[in-house]
Amino acid sequence: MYKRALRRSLLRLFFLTPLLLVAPLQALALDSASDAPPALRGLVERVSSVTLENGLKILMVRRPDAPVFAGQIWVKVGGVNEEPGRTGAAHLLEHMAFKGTDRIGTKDFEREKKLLDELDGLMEVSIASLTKEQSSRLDQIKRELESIWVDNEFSRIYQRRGAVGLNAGTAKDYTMYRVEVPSVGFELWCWMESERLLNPVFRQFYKERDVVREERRMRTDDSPEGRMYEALLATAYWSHPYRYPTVGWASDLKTLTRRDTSVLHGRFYRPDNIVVVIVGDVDPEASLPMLKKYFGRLPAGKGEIPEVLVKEEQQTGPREAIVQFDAEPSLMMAYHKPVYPDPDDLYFSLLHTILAGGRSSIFHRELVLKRQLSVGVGTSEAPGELYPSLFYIGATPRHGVASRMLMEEIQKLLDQVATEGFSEEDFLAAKKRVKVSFLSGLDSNDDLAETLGHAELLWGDWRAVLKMYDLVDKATPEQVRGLIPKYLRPDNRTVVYLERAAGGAK
Amino acid sequence: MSKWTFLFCLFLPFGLVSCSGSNSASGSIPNRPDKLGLEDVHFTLPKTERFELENGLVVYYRFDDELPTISGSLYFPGGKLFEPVEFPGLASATGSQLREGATEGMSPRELDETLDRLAAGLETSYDLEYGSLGFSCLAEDFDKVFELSARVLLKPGFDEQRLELWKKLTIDSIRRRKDDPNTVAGITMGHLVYGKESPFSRVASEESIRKLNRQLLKEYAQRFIRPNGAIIAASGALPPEKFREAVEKHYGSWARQADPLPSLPTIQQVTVPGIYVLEREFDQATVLMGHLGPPRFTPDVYEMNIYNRILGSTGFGSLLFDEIRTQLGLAYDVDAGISPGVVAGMFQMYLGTRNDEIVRAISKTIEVAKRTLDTPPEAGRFSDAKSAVERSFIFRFKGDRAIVQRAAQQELLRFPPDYDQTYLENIAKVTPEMVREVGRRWVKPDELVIVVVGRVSAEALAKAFKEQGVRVFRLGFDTEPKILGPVN
Repeated sequence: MYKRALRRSLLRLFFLTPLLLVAPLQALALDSASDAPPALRGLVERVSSVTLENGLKILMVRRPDAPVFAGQIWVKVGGVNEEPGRTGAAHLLEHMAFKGTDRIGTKDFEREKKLLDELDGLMEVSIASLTKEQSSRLDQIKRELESIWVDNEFSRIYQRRGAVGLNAGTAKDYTMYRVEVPSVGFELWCWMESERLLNPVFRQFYKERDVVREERRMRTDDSPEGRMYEALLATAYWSHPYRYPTVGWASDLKTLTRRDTSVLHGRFYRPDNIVVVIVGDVDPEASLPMLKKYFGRLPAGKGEIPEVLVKEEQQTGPREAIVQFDAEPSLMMAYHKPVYPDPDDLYFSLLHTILAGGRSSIFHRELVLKRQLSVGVGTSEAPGELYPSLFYIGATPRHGVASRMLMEEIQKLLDQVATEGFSEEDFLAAKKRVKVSFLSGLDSNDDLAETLGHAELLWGDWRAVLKMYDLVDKATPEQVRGLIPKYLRPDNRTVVYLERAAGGAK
Repeated sequence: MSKWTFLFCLFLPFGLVSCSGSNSASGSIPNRPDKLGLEDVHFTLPKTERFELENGLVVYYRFDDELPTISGSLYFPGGKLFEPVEFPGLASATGSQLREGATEGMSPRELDETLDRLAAGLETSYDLEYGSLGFSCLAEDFDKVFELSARVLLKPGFDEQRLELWKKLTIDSIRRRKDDPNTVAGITMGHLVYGKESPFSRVASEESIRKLNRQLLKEYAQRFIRPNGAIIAASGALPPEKFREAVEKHYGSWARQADPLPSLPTIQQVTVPGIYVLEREFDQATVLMGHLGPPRFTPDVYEMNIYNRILGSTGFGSLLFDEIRTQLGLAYDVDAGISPGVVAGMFQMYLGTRNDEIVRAISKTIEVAKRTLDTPPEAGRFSDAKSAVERSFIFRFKGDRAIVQRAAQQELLRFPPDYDQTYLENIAKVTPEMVREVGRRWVKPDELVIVVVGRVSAEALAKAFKEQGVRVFRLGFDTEPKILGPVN
């Protein structure tokens, strides 16, 4: 979790150059005034962008090194868009997107549709309250549907064509679908991705809901870190939907319905809320007609996209939670922080590196090497990037060291850094490290697509990273040091302790 | 930039489709993707520059200046398979402390700061049969970082204080082993299949870690680290001639060692099939099922790759995914495959399922595996898997880093020199019957060791599998597994 979040944090900072977008499709010219590293210029000059009439944004970068490409679909919907009682719906919807369409995954869609409608009616009432006749009918419908369905046909079509890395992920602010395909399969990719946006069928929903419950058991219920993270969000946020687990509360996962995911799909899966990214051996100019032909079919959205109205009030005192689990102790500390476009958001990426990036970082040097209080200390940011988020510290105490004592020592160390600052040499090294981390994450098609799609979806323009780059590049030690008294204060802090329960219970 | 060239042959029964995507842009959209045709992709394998120093050090390098960075790995002899039986953990300690313990004339703190200020990565470790030193940095800093890599490897400092700290941290991590059900299941499976004392599966104990000292690490490094048998794989924004000069400058004086490396250990374990249950308060039962498998390079590898795809190695669309996950909703993660190993690999199946479905999940998974042995794969599933193996082969060479790493690994692990050149030819020869035969050769459902970690009653499992005559054992696990005794 830490590495992934940090990577994203680093990536989003440094893929920035001042490029101009000229619709409908144009290779973007690099602004000669940019401070972007020269080595990036050749890369960003190849970014092309187009917005279709229905509002769908498409970004492309041609990389002809190998005859393959990465294709990604980014949708601006995630856990933050869910309602109480329906948590986990965005994630379950992502699973449903692999179940096929009216032409993939079924032997008889007309018959299937009637059965699914009938199934919905029966599944939306408590199983216990069904009459004997209804129960019998339910079993009959399930059996008939099973005979109609073609399992995982959507994925098998891709695999048969040599596609790899077929996957998806749901976060608080977005859902992303990814796959890498040999370039000769470009039209197939257009067909598959546009079809599942246009005509998805949420079949096998209730079995998949069971699958997600297993996913939750694996990632959260049986994972000390998963349990702590869930407690951290629920404690740090009192009102904002960032407090809900993206996978969904266990109780919600028992009651979510097919209609819940359909509602979310109808509201958010619309072209003006989606970004398509293609990086690899695909010619942007030549492929535009094909992209228009397939993705231009998606009907434009109607009305406004629902907004998240709830705001989290300023935290006014320290908060704590204890998770009991049959595992050795550890702790998480989190502080509310702003997100982009607040410049402080960018200064935090330097603070991460100074505090916890590498063996010479302050936390490693002081707490692991010198005082030997911790096995390891890391920092990250979570849970989201559209609304005020959290700077968090994860630490594992050495055997025999009390978690509370380690927490207090970390806070003292932060206060000491706030007072004494850090050397100019360390500060410049942190800047260099952030830049190199960014570069190393750009060398695959999939990584570059992720950088572009992420920025374009969340901030409306992938070139937002240019502003971020400039902010980081021009940051002063004082701006970074100043984050500690401003945000990393006890009254803005939430701590979660993992303790072994008496008797070994979880 | 020296890039490799692919040659395409497109067979387009339903219209011309190319990577530009423009040719069929004006036609109507077919109602099924099959109508887009299944274009064949032929390509020539990328070439990688290889040279060898007089001392035997082999180098693979590719120039790529898209980004101003360079990275690579240096693989060297040694590994956990060769550590003395009385010192489990010695290879791990040596691998870690080559970098952590710095180098002669430079303290660990100086090395840490130097590398961090260069924004460079430099790490060392030992695997089963070789060690590796990984490096990454800006091309402009390459000479400094590469020099440090050679100093770390050839003149390790093995700093006493860092070693003592590593020992304490490792002992802490040993105490945490039991927190993670997958770690517990993995270690247990290794002990049951290879043997508790086998170098293939042995784990360090608090006692064995405490016994390690600087002298032991130095002797281990001196015994194994040598240029003959070592290979560098690197790529980046440094011209090839400059890279070669740097290798000769920093590693050219590295002296050969004539004494032979020890032979690979043998496997002595007599596996007792059955279900081994560790009762722990987890909401999900972790299940690992397996037994010994083939050696690393087996002529069966082509059929095996298709067999694995069909049974469960690739997620979506495998038999286990379809039946255990999609149809029954019993697991989020379920996979299986025959994996070749150094001397003998394993056949393994894995799943995580809710505790109250453990019997059904185990039974159904084994039933699916048995079915692959009874009849050849169904035609559609076979052709899908074969096509997937053939057409995704290209991704093994995606990017310069992947290309050099693959070339180096194949030489290191002594793959046949024409392995890649003949791979697709060999895959093309595979028939459904051949897939079944290879399955029968390497998958033995009646010999499975089944490890279960979860809130599951060993007695209940014994009762459930009584008719099949499956033996059930209760396990304990503090820092290592211990068989507490049979339940039936």
